Amino acid sequence: MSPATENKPPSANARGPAHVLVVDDNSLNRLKMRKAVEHIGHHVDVARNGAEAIMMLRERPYDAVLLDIMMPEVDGFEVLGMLKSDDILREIPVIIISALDDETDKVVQGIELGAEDFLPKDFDPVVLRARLNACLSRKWFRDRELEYLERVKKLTQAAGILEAGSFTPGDLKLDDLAEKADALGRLAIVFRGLAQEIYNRERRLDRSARTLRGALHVLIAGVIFGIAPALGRMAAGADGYSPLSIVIWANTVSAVLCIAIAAARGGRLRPTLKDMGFLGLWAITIGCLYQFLTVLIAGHVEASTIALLGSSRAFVVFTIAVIIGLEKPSLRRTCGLGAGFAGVAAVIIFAGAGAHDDSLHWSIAALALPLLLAFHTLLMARRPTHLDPFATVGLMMVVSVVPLGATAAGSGEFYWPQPALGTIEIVILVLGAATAIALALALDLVRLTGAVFASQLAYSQTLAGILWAMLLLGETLSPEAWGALALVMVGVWLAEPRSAREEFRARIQVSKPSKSTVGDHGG
Amino acid sequence: MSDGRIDKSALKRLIAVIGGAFEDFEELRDDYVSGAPDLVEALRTSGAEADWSAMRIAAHTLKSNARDFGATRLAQLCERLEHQCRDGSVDAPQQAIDEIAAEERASREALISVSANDVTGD
Repeated sequence: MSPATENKPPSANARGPAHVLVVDDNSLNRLKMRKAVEHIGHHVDVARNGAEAIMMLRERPYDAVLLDIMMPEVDGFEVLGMLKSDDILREIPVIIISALDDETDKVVQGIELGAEDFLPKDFDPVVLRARLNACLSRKWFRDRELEYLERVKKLTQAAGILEAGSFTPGDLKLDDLAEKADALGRLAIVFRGLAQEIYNRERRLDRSARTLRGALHVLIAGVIFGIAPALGRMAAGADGYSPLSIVIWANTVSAVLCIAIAAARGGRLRPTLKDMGFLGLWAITIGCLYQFLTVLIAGHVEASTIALLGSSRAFVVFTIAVIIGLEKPSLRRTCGLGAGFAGVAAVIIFAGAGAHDDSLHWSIAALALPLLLAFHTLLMARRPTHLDPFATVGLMMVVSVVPLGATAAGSGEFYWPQPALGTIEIVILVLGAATAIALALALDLVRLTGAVFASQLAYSQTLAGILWAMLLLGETLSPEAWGALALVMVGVWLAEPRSAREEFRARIQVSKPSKSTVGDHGG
Repeated sequence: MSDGRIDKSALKRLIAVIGGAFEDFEELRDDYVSGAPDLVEALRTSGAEADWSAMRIAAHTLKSNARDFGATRLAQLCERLEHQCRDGSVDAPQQAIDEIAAEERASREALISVSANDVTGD
């Protein structure tokens, strides 16, 4: 449709039958007008008085009103006044029906009040058709104009959303606009297409950034957290070895360090009552059981074996996450997790990494550690997001010290660290600091990439654990353990981080026209 | 056949306005015939109560209907009464109403006798 055609008023006939309301207290006039207007080809409703007319006009849309002025109670002027004072109804054209012989002043008054035209009661049918259809044509042209302006408004709103710099394609609400095959519809299609393209591009970028940051987090947190078995093993050979006391003091160090960092960062420290449930469960899982069992089992099992067994956590996390609907399974991700697990399992079975274990039940007990870590990883997905990650870890550590301290006091197994830094004291300090930083990074990792990707920590933690065992304890590893590295890396690549879901909002910067540019156009 | 009280050109115009079907005209005529005596009665009631406003509306309506059906004399009588009501000075209302009632009755009878042949031919 050309612009010229678009601006041409539609003829009444082209639009099909209109809905006309005839308002007259005289039943004969109503009947006459009904038949006359129906003969022209329009639909007619009749109102017996002004009050009924007002009610009907509010109930359904009409294209025109044929209005008698002289009616008892609510007269035609009142109906006209109501119509013209209503933002929506004011667009309905009104034709006054008048005897004219002594009502000229009323016709004038009606026109002044906003009536479109008038018709004498003894009208010629040709005049009725001409005046009514002329009114309808103007009304429909105005309707189209208003609809067009409304559509322009929608497009402008969409542009405003884009200009604000944060959007999803659904925010633009351009679908109905794009359905109409006119210039504005085509513009909406182009606009929507460009916005979708920008969104997709930003989403891909966001995903790449998440992968990169996630991988970095996995490496750093894994390296730091992987030191725990080696430290436990170191402490086992030192004087004053008490797993419970070491964990209590290490957790105290973690708590102090984390709360200090959170305070320095200005993070929120005050948990809600609801947060206490999470903190309590997390404290039991990681602060009490995992920490204590790591130090305890390290006294009986080589640190490298503990580290290798730890990689099974990723597979456990993925399985549980799928069961509870936290993550969606896919062949690629299953292969990724499986590859990593298979690589480490192969080392355990064939290379005899656990060959030095002299006690089967301690090795079996060591499997509890990846299970606890799996639960911990999933638990982190339910973390209180309003709290600073360091504050969350610090508060959890404070909570964990309570049952550990009570148990130590009850069993009489409590060790006070010595002022001079011995092996135990160093282990306490390093274990506390490493746990604090690794857990805070892990929380951030879950936020960035989801629980499944975060479970890749198991692999980096495993490899780091092996390296720490070699470095600090001089443990030896079979070549197959190194071969696992390749499989683990393949696993990380295949599992990929959580996709940006519907909540992803593209953020763009739209440059606004400079004042001089605006001035040029305005001039 | 009518007796000259009915202007047939008005009837033809009315039939043209409503689409040309005599059946539709008959429907309108039935409405007029049943409603006109009620309007005369409304004039009498309002006259008895000296309610010039109600009388004016009744006279206005009867005038309008009478014009549609070509009852020219009746329309003129109603118009005169309507004007008097508007001005608030009705001279001998009872006499005016009696005159209107007689003319309404006569024109009604004349209208009832109008056939399709009377108004569809040239």
